[in-house]
Amino acid sequence: MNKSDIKVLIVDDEPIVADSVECFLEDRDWNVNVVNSAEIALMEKLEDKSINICIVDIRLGGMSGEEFIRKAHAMNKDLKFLICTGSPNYLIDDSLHQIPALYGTVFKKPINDLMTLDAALMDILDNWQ
Amino acid sequence: MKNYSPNSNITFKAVLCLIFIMVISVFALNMSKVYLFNSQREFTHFVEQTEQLNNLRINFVILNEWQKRYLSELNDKERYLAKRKISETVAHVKNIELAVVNNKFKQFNQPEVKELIVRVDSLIDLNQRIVDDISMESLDEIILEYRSLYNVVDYMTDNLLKKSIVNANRLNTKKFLNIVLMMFIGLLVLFVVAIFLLVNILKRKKTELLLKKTQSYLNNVINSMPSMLVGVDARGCIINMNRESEHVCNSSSSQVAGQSFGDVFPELSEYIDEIKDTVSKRKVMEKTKLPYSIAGQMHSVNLTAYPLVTNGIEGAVLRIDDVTKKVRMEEMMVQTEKMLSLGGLAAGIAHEVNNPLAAMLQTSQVVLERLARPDLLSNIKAAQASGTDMATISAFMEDRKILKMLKGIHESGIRVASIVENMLSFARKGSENFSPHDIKEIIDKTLELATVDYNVKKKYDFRLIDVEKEYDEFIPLLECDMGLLQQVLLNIFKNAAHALQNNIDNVKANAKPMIKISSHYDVAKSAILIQISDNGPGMDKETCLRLFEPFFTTKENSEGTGLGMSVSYFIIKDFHSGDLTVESELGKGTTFSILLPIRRIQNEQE
Repeated sequence: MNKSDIKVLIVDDEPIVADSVECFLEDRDWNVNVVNSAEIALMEKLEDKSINICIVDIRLGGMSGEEFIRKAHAMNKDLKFLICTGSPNYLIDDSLHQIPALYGTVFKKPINDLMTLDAALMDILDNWQ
Repeated sequence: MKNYSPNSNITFKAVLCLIFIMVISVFALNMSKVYLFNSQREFTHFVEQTEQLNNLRINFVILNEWQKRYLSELNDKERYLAKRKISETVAHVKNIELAVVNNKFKQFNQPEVKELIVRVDSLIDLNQRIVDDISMESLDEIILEYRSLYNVVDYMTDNLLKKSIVNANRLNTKKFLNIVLMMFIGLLVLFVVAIFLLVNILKRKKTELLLKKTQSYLNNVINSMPSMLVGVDARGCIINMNRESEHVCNSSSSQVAGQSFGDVFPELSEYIDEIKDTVSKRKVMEKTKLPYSIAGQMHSVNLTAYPLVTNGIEGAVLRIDDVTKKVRMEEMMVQTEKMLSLGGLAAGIAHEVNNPLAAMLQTSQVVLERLARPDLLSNIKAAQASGTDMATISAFMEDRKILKMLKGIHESGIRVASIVENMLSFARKGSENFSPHDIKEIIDKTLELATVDYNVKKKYDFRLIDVEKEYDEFIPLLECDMGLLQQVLLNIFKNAAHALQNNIDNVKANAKPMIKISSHYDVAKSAILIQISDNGPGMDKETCLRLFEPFFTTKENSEGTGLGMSVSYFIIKDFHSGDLTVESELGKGTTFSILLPIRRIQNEQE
């Protein structure tokens, strides 16, 4: 799989944060979309199964990031997830550990160097089955 | 204390008594009487009465027929005893002045009687008589004659005299006996009294000893107390005080006795009236956390005054406790409380802070990327579309120092993030972020941070401190949490700068303030040793020992939390499985040594 074939969805209720990630990844030729709530993501973006990777915030306005991951995973088993949260003490929930599509490293906001996120995406891409 | 010597007193009395007894005895023994015995019965009576024949001078002996008669009336045993008595009596006759002896009596077979008769025979010249078969009449004549010559006391015939004499005799004997008895009783009484006194003295000695023991025990207790104890009278004048007080006042109890409490403890003089009230109203007075300087250092003391009424002496006992440590502990508790609530608060608000921070940080990075990356295709395209090129933009950015400013924003954001992170280190554990780093770079970066830090605070200028670096040429990358390691280094630099403050203030007097940093790779241990030395005033042993204790600080409260070194220790020991030690000598300086294994040693528990 190629970078250009991948569609990344950023689910974050903080538009500026989401935008900064979007811009950074776009500059690195990733195909990036942004939604500001999990509900919108589920209803609008995941219907056609075109999204490959979701960068998900945990504390969202409505549905939590964890619930979103569970539901999205149920909809599309191929979907990969990467958690990026502002909660400093966040540890991946046990129920989410069973989802192999979840990336092991949790990114903590603020991401001091966005290159680490780029590297993580590349890692996911490299390990695409 | 008064020295009792009742022993010598008793001896003296006893000796006095003995002398008295001896004088009495001599008088008694010298009593000499001239008795006329008309019958053996009288004589035996006399003998029985006196029983002191050995010491009597018998001046007059008449041995007559009646004796024989008397003897013949007796049975054999009685006769033998009577004979023995007579011979004993005769044997004791010393100065014979008159002897009337019946010739028949000469047959008396006793050697003593014979001797007497011989002696009487030889005394004829001296107006003595020996009468043969004397008749009662002639005896009376002789006696009468003798009486005219001597003042003879008729033992029996003179009835009036007899009684008195016998009585006197008895009395004398009795008196003597009485005296002896009295003496004996006296002695006995004296002895008993002496024993009693002795026992009493021993008891008293024992009690005294016990009292002394108790007193010294109590003194020990009072003197061993870490509290100051001062006894004052109703006027507030010191009666005595314990060792701790002497130590604090630097003067002995006897020196300050009688002085006013306020004069000896000037810093507590304002409470003198309340102390007097304590005595008069008999109410306990307590004042807490009073400032009091001991040996030039400010301490907090509690002053408690207890009214005292013993044996009519009015006064009070004052207890002054040094509660500095307790007060400090309380402050620490408050601090800890604060830190914990800060941790909780930080955890609560971190999410809220982190999001806008993420916006700033991440956006600034994107901005940097978009302005300073001439190689990015999207940048080139955008520049062209705007009618310019990346080179022009770069030149502009360089000229206006915009990139530097943006980097500043980015770095500041990182610092804010690390502050939030540090606050959270009290609320969280086990989320360290390990990655390989160049230790030299970490040190240099931290030094930079330290310079900025002190410039901002303007309290001490890091630029006035010479920083000497000594790095090994080859040092492998170190697996560590750079942020945490920086925190440790920064903390040590801060402490060093604080210690060197004195040197900075007196540049001329002292050696130039200097911090020496060395980094050495220990191949054998597969660890990196970082040493940071300063030439400041150093620390004493106690400070060194307590340095890593949480909330231990030598700085004023406003300056330090007392957490820096303990958190550093925690970071090195627990997070990096390393070692943080300190060596210091007063007047020479301090050296911190950090030993870090280059490979991360995972804690088995995690």
